[in-house]
Amino acid sequence: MALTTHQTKEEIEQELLIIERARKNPERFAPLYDKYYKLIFLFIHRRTDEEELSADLTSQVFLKAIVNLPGYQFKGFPFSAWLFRIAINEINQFFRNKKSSRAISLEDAGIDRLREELDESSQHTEEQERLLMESFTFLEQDEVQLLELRFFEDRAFKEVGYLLGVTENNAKVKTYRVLDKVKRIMKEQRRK
Amino acid sequence: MNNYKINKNKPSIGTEQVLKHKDFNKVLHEYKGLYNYKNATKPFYKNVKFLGFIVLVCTVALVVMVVDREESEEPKEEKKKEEVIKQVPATVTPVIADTTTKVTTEEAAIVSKKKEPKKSVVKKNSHTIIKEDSSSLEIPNKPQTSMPVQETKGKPKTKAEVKNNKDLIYQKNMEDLEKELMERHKARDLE
Repeated sequence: MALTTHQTKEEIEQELLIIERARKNPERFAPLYDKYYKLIFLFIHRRTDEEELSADLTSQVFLKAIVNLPGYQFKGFPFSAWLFRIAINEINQFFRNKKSSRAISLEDAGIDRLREELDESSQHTEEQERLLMESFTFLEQDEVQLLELRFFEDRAFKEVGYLLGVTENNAKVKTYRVLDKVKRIMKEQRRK
Repeated sequence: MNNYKINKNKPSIGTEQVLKHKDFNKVLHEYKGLYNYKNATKPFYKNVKFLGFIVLVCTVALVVMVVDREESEEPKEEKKKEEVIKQVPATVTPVIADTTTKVTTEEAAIVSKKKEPKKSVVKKNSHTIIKEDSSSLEIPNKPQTSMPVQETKGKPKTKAEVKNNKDLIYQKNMEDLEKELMERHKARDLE
C-alpha cells in the first residue's frame, strides 16, 4: 500500500478549510482523523510490527496534531506530511525510551530500487540480498529511516527533507552517504 | 550492530484490524483532559485574566484615591469662604415693618437719633436695649458676629441667600422690639 498521498489543489484547499475550522473547534478535526487514520497506522506499524503499540502511537500522533494545530503552517506539502513528521518523532521517542527492537519492513520493489542505486542490479542473487539485509544491522536508526523513506516508501527528496526537518539537498547528501556506507559494509561482508 | 527486526514482503495488516482501533472520541477526550491540565498548571502571573483583573483593581483604587483627595480639599475651601463672609461687616440697612408693625416711621427715626445710652442696659434675645427712661429706646444695630448663620453642607450658599437670611433675622428682632415698645406704650397709658 502506498504511504504517500498526491492531492490536487482543490483537495489541499478543502483540507486547509477543515484545518481552519478545527483550530477553533477540535471536534471539527474528525474528517481529517477519518481520512488519515489508516495511513498513519500503517506507517507506524511498518516500524513497530505490533498492533496495539501502533494503535497507541497513532492515537498519540493525532492527539499531538490537535494540540499543535494552531501552529500548523502550510508549506507546500499535504497535511498528511505533517502527520508523518509527528509520527516519525513519536516512533523515535518510543524506541529511544524503551530500547526495544525496531522493525524494518522491506518489499521487493523497494529492494530493487535500492540495488539500482547501489549498482548491484546486474545480478540478483540470494547472497546479495542477504548481504543487504545484514548491512542494515550496521546502520543507525536515522540512517535506516532515510533508506525507508526514500526507497521503500518511494518519497521525493523534498518530502524526505520535510519529514526529517532538513533541506532537500541535505536529505540527498545524507541519503547518498548512507548508500556509500551500505556499499562499504557489503564489500567488507563479501571479503569475510 | 543494531538489533532490527527485518520483515521481508510481510503482508500488511488488514483494514478491519486497523479500523477497530479507530476512536476519535477517545483522542478528543484525551485532548480535553490535556487542555485542562495545561490550563491548570499555567502560572498565575502568566494568566491574562489574572493580569487583567490586577490592572482593573489598580485603576479603580487610583480613581478612588484621586476622588477622595479632591473631596477632602473641598471642605477646606468652604471653611475659608465662610470665614471670609463672617469677617465682612454687615451693610444691610434696618428693615422696619410697614403697615403690619405698630412702630411708626417717626418713632423709628426718634429711636435712631438717640445714639448714646445714658443709664441702664438690658440684654434680651441677642439684641441690646438701652434704657434711659421709659421713652428712650435704641434700635439695636444689625447683629454682626452674633447673627446665626446657618451651617451649609455641600453646596455653599450664594451671597444673595446669605443676605436674605440676615434680613429675615433682623426683621424678626425688630418685631420683638416692636412688641416690647407696644407693651411699654400700654404701661405708660395705664400710668
